[in-house]
Amino acid sequence: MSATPVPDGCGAPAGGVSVSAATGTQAVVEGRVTREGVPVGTGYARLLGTGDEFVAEVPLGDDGGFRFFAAPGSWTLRVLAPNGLRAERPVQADHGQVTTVEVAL
Amino acid sequence: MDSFRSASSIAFQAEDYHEACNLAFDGLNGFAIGTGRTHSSMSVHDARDGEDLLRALRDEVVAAIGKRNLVDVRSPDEFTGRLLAPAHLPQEQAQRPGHIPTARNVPWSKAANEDGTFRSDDELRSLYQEEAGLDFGRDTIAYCRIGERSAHTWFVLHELLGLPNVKNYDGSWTEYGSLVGVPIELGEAR
Repeated sequence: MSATPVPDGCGAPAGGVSVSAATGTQAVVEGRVTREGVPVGTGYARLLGTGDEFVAEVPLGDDGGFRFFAAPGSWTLRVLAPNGLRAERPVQADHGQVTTVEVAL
Repeated sequence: MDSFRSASSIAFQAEDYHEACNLAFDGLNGFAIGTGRTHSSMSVHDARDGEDLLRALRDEVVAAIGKRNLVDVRSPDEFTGRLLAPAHLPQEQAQRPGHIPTARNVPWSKAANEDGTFRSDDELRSLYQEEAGLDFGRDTIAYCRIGERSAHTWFVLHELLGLPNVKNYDGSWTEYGSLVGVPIELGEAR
């Protein structure tokens, strides 16, 4: 996964922050976006929280990857890609767990 | 360059308004650049040291509790204390969760349409006054985690809606949530 260390600002690096920057107590939600088996490297993954409110957004990595650090509980993952391609998946996260979501558009 | 100066530069790059404004907010990547609208001229504002008319520091923020509008522009999950940071960042933080007492939660992204343009004046007034309960007759301080997202809201309140006295809390939750001896609320706004 093409994740990178924690940035200085508020924005997310493409692919998300690398897990090595975190600890084992994180509630990680990660995955890859593909279309017909090919990684989608242009687009965004969004995490929606309470009330489907925007919580965070990560530009997809070259390999279609994304990563979030959530809290325990229910979330919604929304993927936006060129040509109006969208997908939504319910996600359950927990401390110390890596929840993997593979999204085929 | 500290976070406020960086943020205010970002805000001022969007210095032409509403119908014609395509918001390029590179610092957050929150919205893609809008399409299909006339693109008007842009300018860059370089904030100078000592612009305390725009920047609030912690003592001023504590004194503003219950007296001025405090606008917390983070996501509801950060506001209520479920998250300590935007969820693309690790949640391992030094500070406590929650928000400044009497703050209203208006996520910065609510000021924009899905295509990245700003919402209309009427929609923005309704959002801040009717939905969030801000008193436009009072001075206002906006904050988030490090002052970037709240620079966006500062721009909306001060530049688009013309509120005269709006400040950005430079330290934001990274500072406030680490302070000893200040009040913190958890959960929904009261």
